[in-house]
Amino acid sequence: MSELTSWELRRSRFNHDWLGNHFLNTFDAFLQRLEGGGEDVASLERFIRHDFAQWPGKEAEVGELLNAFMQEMSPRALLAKEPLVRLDPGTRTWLGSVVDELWRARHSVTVALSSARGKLEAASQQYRAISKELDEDPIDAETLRRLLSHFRKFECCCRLLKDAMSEFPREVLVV
Amino acid sequence: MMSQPRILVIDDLYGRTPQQGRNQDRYDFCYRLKLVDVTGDEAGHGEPQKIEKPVAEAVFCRGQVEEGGVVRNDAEQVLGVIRDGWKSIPVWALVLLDLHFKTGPVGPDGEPGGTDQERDPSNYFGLQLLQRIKSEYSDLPVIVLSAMERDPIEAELSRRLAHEFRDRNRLTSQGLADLLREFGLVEDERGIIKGRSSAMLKCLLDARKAAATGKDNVLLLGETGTGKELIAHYVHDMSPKRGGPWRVVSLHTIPEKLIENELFGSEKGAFTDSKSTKRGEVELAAGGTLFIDEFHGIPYEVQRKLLRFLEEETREVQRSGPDAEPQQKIDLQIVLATNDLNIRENIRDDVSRRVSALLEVRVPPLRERLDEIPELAAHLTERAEQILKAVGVEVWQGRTIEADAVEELQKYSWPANVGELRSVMAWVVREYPRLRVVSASQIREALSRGRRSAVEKTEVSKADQA
Repeated sequence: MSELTSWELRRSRFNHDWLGNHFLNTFDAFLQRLEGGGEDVASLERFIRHDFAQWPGKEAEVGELLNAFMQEMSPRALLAKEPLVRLDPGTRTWLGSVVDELWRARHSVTVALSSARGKLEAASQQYRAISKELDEDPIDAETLRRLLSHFRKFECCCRLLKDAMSEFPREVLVV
Repeated sequence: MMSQPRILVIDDLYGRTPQQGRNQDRYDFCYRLKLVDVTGDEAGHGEPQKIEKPVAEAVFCRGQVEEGGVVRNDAEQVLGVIRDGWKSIPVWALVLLDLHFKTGPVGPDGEPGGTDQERDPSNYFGLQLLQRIKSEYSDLPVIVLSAMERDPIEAELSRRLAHEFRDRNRLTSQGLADLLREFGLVEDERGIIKGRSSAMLKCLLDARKAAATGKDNVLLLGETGTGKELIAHYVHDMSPKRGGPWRVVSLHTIPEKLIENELFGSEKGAFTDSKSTKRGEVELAAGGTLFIDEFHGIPYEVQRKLLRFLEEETREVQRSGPDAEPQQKIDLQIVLATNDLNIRENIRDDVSRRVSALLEVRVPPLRERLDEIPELAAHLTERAEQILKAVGVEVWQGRTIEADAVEELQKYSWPANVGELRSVMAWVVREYPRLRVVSASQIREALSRGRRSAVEKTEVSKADQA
């Protein structure tokens, strides 16, 4: 049995538990309700106040996750564990730099990271645009219907973010 | 009346029953996929959700138990739910199975915290369940539905016989309807074939698979009276050939020497008394489906010729006769049927090899569909009443069939299958046109008459042979 890294666990909690299992499911139902005429106002409002409102917290969580990726998932991290930790400090320094460089080049991690950051920013932009509108108008079916295309874009960005987050390796790869 | 297919969703999140309020994730999931929630565990938690044009009914199962504030997985619970639904009607049309089930102590938010180990793909509880389900219910279609990544478990999905993996965020109501059609144990959407038992629904599923391309040849194996022609027509209607002709040939009614002529046609003067050109059934079915019943009764030479024609990709046919036109290519689907369930052993090797290349669909006998007898008997009784009424007989319509009468029907072994049940119910209606209740006595009387008649027929046949 392989041991999951702390980074992988945090990614799984965000990408699977929150984004996949909960947010995108409830977001899709919200869009369908809105497209269907928006009669179930209670469910629409519930989404806005309970689910949509969680985005800023999640944005920060993903940002931290992406920032920590290089540090935690680079094979350089193996040098801090048994048995490589027994190497002398000088060797660990140069060896760490070499494996880190190789890892970045072979697994296109910089590209994956840049892509995920782009997707996160795109989603957050949509979120901010919708939030601005919602701050100015009452949250009712009419306002929400008017913002339908913005919501669709936001949902699409979230899906792309989920795909981008899935692209990262699940474990520390040995180069 | 046709009922909605019933699916089982095994999922820790959607299967939860909240102490207060409703399970909003499940509520939204049902709305997205157009599912009517019939789990029955949220009664009193608000109005049922209105679903327009539902795709299916859904029962949700958590697959877990919570004891003393700690959640643990429970495979036996899942198998118990499957067992109960597999015995009753409607049977499960499909199972949607989650992969990752969160266990552990329940937090302040009401959710178990989950453990690190259970997130490891090699430990997914969903995969363990998949293996148990498929080993005990091999005919039950299982679709893995998860927001987890597919790659790490691709080989396991195959080994453990999942039918499909779907990303739960991308599955739509139309996608679910397509899955039900492709893999599900669902009733005849045309409403013609009355069958809701797992045996019959499996037969319909096999028939749909066989019909998928409209180019494969199909062999229907079923005892007398099981409704092979109805299944053959279903194959036609479910295939891309549905817009083409539907032709039926019952070769046992045709003299042996004319069978080849019937199938492949002949030119004028091909044989004595042949005064005009005759197009064969193969030609007449071009672009559609040809159903050949009693295949085992066809003379060996014609069997061989027919099967040779079937296995050729070009499908060329030529009428017999001195002035026969050149061969013409025919595009058709052929459905052969036989009540010789051991046909492969009972025919010559060269023909047997060719028969093996046909897609086989087994039509179940009535004794394997005993759960369906109440509905079938009611349907056949109603039809018998209508027929009598149509010819001017004063008849009570809508009679009820008593429970002991149903029990009597279910005790019988039905060697002649639905055809025999039809005769029994028709006899009861004819004999007692104005009675409003069908009782066990009438069924016993009808069955004993049927048996007497069968014995008489056998004796007449023996006398003829003598």
